Amino acid sequence: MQRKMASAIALLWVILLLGGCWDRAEVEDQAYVVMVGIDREPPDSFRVTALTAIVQQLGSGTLQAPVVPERPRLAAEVLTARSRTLGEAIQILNGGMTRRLDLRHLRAVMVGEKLARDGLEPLVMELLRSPLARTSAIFLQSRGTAGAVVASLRPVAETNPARMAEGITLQAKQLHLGPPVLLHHFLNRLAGGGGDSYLAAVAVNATVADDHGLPEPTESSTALPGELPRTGGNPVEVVGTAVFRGDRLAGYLNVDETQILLALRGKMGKAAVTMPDPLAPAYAVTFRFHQENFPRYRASFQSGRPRVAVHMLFEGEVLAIPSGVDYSAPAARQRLERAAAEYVRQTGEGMLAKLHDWQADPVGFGQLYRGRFATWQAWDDFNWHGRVKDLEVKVTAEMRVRRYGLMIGRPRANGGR
Amino acid sequence: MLLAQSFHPVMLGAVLAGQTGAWLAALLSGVLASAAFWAVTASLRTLPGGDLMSLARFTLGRPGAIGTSLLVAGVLVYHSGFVVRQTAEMAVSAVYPLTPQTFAVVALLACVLGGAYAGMNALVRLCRAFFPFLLLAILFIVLGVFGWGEVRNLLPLWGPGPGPLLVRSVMLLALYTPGLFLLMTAGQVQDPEGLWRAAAMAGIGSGTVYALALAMLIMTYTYPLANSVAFPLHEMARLILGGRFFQRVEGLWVLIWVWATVCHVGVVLHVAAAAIADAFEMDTHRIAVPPLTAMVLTLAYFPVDQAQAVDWHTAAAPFGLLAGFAVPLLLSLIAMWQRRRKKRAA
Repeated sequence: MQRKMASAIALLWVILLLGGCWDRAEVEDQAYVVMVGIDREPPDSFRVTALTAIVQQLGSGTLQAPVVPERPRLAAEVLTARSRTLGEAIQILNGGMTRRLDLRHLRAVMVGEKLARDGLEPLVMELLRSPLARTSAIFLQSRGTAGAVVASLRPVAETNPARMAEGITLQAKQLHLGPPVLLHHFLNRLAGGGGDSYLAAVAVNATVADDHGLPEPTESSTALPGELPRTGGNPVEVVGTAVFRGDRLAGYLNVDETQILLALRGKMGKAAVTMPDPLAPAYAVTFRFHQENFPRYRASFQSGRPRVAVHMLFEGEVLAIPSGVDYSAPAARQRLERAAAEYVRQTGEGMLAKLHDWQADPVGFGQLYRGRFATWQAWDDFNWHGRVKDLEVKVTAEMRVRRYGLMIGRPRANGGR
Repeated sequence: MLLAQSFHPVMLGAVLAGQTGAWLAALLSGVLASAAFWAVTASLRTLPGGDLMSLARFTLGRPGAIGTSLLVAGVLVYHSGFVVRQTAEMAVSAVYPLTPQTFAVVALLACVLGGAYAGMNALVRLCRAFFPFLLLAILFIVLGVFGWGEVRNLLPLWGPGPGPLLVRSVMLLALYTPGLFLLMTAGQVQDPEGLWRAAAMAGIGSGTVYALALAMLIMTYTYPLANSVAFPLHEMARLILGGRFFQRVEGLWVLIWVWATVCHVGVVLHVAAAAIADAFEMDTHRIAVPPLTAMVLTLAYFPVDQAQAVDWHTAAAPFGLLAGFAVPLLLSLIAMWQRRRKKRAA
């Protein structure tokens, strides 16, 4: 009897292994798409731009040590197709390939502005349905066309396109210049009904792309993507946030507002913030904000209108004091703490005013109200999206300065002469 | 093992009916199933024969036993067909899109046939050896996707409301019908006395795991989108990442899933074959196994597509529930009435 059982088990193994004969996917036969940019092509088509890795050039040594000393290029090819669906685009692009295009290693999906303003739900659902593409890919919103962004990618110190896409997520997670939103997060917000989605914004910086020399003197923290004051390097920059109402793009937030948005969601972690020096207004102070505690929310109704009070607590580490003010003195420290709290409040209110105009709720305040309803039907009838215009939010913040970098007091290089 | 495999194909139906409170319904159904296992088996043991087929023979004679066995076998074969179809659809949709489906299904059923033919003790050994892997795989998925969802997606807590949620939890008892039939036709198990206790524990355990999996599905995909995810545990496994070298763990999950199907359908088919053999007074159940396997294959491909298969299974669940609870209850009542009449006559 045991022999029969063993035969049955062996047969199953054979079958599982034989399945690979039909479905085997040799690496040498595949071309891996690591990033796609998708734009609306009037009237109802897509322009799909696929960044495809040139696997042979990865780690071969030719790129790491070029014979001609020139800047290493990304080991990838940009392919573009016009199609009605993403699946059809891959089919069309395969027409010019000798390897099969494969989405299994897709790391980033970028959508163009026009497409996002028309609505992303059909596209997102297609990606969710696909057995190859994964919803763990980073999802990005392009300011302008996504195809132009994909074609302009020239990352510094990077030749591997897959690593580049992972690097975008890593940068967002560590520096918070843009939110690290994956396709799945977007989908979750889109379907959940208790808030709106948002994505990291990406754009081509014309100053860098056209090598115009010195940049315009804009403030980096208030710049939208494509407007950072810099030259050289990668023309593509991932900064700021694209806010959606439902599945449609509503507008963009700058870096400062992005950080406060993340703080309101309790996801700021540690982020560098530069704000005016309270005791020397001609100068600025750079902090590293630490958000160690989740914000405290109090949600209520006042005259039938939803009202939320949010209190955020930060710890601060001063990184730069160009004015030379000694903020380690108790009175000055308290002044700095009050100024930092006021900065958070003002930036938060400015951002919330934008969100009110757009009638969008990327913070997810609606989620606070779900528990007040006994049944799904009652919550659905409440229609949170229709109530966002009536939402009132009061933001308060508290800052506790803990550290002053590697120096305390007011160091003087000339010994006080 | 037997119960764990039952719930995966019907997670979507549970979400549709229980909405954000589906996990509560699953938890409650596990408790109800344990109580039902205890009640049905305890009442059967007080009656002649101690199992369903003996009771049917005692009360209604041979025609009654044959009818009951056909009903039991019909419910179990139909259920097996659906489980096989879902497994084949998942394997082909997600892993082997180019492999002919017949190839995978015939091989799967050959293993099932071998298991059912070998007998209950061999199947129990196989299940016992494999059970920890299935449980670990489910728990791994549940814990692995925790960071992908939002706990607030589970609100409102009661979903459609407390009343409908209670009704739904009773309907979910249909998931446990194979376990119930196993108890009622448990003449061939080494330790039939202790089986109902194990089954009651399995009811609570399965209900808890089912509730956890449903809660995680709703947290991860949110209601109502969670109701459209074709293979929930597989889809959740696809999200699990741990750095650059720990990805695509769903491959392992698919392997475990196929093995779980072999164990589950093997036991279910064996129970069906044993019921028929008992009713028709055959020497062995083995002769009934090949025709039943052929029927499973036929029923698996009766629905034109996967959506229809899910719809039919959801629609048929109440009938399984009726067969599982109404038939033994009816037979018990008849037996008690007959006993009372004999006493009076004596």
